[in-house]
Amino acid sequence: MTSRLKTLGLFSAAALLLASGGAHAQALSAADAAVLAGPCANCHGTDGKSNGKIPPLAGRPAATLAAMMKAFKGETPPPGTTIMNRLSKGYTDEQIEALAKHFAEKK
Amino acid sequence: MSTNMISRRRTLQLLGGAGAGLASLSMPAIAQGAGAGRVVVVGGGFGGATAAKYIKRANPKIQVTLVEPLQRYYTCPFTNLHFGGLRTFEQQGHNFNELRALGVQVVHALANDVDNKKKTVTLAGGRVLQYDKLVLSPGIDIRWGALKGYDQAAAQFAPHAWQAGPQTALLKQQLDAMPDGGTFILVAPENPFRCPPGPYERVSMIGHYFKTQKPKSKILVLDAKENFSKQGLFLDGWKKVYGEMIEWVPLSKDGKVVRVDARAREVETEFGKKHKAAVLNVVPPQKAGFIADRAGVSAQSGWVPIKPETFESSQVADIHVIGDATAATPMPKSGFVANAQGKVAAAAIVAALAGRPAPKASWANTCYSLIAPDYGISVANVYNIADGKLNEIKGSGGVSPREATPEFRKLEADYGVAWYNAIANDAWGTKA
Ligand SMILES: Cc1cc2nc3c(=O)[nH]c(=O)nc-3n(C[C@H](O)[C@H](O)[C@H](O)COP(=O)(O)OP(=O)(O)OC[C@H]3O[C@@H](n4cnc5c(N)ncnc54)[C@H](O)[C@@H]3O)c2cc1C
Ligand code: HEC
Repeated sequence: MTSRLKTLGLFSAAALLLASGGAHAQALSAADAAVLAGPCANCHGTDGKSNGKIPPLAGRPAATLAAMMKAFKGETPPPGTTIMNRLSKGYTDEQIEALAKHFAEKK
Repeated sequence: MSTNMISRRRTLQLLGGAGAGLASLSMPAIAQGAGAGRVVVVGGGFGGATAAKYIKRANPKIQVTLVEPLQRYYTCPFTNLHFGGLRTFEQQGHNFNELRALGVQVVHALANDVDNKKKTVTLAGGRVLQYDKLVLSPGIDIRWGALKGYDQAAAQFAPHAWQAGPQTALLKQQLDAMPDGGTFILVAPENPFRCPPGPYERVSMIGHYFKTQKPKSKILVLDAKENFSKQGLFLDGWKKVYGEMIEWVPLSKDGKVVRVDARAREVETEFGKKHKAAVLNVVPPQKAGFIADRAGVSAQSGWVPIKPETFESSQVADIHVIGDATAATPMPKSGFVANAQGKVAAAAIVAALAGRPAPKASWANTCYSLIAPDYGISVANVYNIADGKLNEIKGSGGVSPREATPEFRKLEADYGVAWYNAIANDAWGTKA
């Protein structure tokens, strides 16, 4: 049973890859991005709408958010960084783009 | 229920599980339209409240019932700050009004049993709830008696305070009543247990209370482990802030307690050394909440094995288990992780009910701890799935720097409070 389910799962994953086509086969869906963004809410607020000292993410330009995430990931994170240097290293640049788009679209 | 019955039921349930797998493929939701279905969530703590909320937000047509005996849930996080005199107990209380407003049916009762073949949950009082998908986030139960002498009666003399509520009040009361110059002993368990840095944050906060109120007092940590979470940072911080007040005894230095005499507030270690406390706090061995056994999802270890992609039980179909109850190494048993797992399970359930594959799973964790009011430290991690297993992403995460300015420690203390308010708002909608 499990293996049959698994085969079906692989099958549908393959179908999805085909459907999304060639170069963008790796692109993350909106649902994937929402899951990636799940833990961010625990500090930045639900949907990135902060209610405290940690800066909000909601509705800010995607390019700004992505640039900040990449800066955290770099050799010399901005002065005053406490934790985003450690967290941002868990995400690929592609995931960062998806996260930035996700929060930019929250109004 | 006898163990015999459980194991007989479990066999039946395993057989039933295979059938249930088929049933989920046939999609009850399709018949109901719009990817709807009935979801029952057991437990309104960090995991359960989050899962209920995120399922309802993603698809309001899904009927979500949350089963939680408490009218008001108190978090363990920040109860240590209460012992430090920094917060009232009430500040850790949260209600279920936001979930109700979202359309979640909140039933204040204990779930007594799960029939995973009929897909029903029976509540204390006899009410039966039918589910298409069940989420269990029952947290921990104490393994009473696993540490010799430590049973329910003993906890009235030597509190664990590892579940927030009357036990928290009892420990606070004992600390308040303790004369200056007394010794506070904390007995720390082997891994795995709820909140790996928790015992060490607790003694830090009690250290703060002693330093400001009862400066002649001492703190002794008797540990069944050789290492602990954020160890270097804690040991540095204790020395710096509390001097010689806090002594930590690891396993190799005879730190393992094997017997507790709660009434005498005395403990005995592996090699027969006896220690007497003015206040004795035992963090005992733990397991998944009992409903996991009744549902047939727990393993020999006492914890619940899960499929990483969805946090569905690896033993029974259509039951997702999240939070402390799971065996989810390398993730710690934290409120942060319970919330993160809740979101992954919620997304998987919403997708399954709509006949879609689960989105790609991803999780993170951060545990802030307070050494002193302006001295915060943290540990962080990001997780994915590699080779079919939960995996800590290489190069990510880690602990706060060993060398840091007082400003940095203060910032982390403030961000810890911001985290608490954000996650409480995310799970229960409670505004600070
Ligand atoms: C001292 C201390 C400090 C901590 N500090 C932190 C911290 O700073 N950061 C952090 O991330 N984590 C912290 N934690 C850990 C955190 O408390 C847990 O990891 C978290 O509560 C786990 O969430 P959960 O949903 O699995 O269980 P819980 O939050 O315990 O929720 C379980 C709920 O289920 C209910 N329940 C149980 N059985 C049933 C049943 N049969 N029917 C109906 N309802 C049921 C219970 O009443 C309870 O409300 C701390 C823990 C302690 C002890
Ligand atoms: C444990 C708490 C925590 C989590 C989880 C967290 N952040 Fe942060 N974030 C912070 C803090 C604190 C800062 C301030 C910088 C610092 O101290 O690292 C910050 C800053 C940022 C900034 C810069 C904002 C600005 O205006 O300067 C961005 C962008 C950001 N985070 C994105 C994210 C994303 C995306 C996620 C999820 C993948 C995330 N964060 C998860 C705590 C967190």
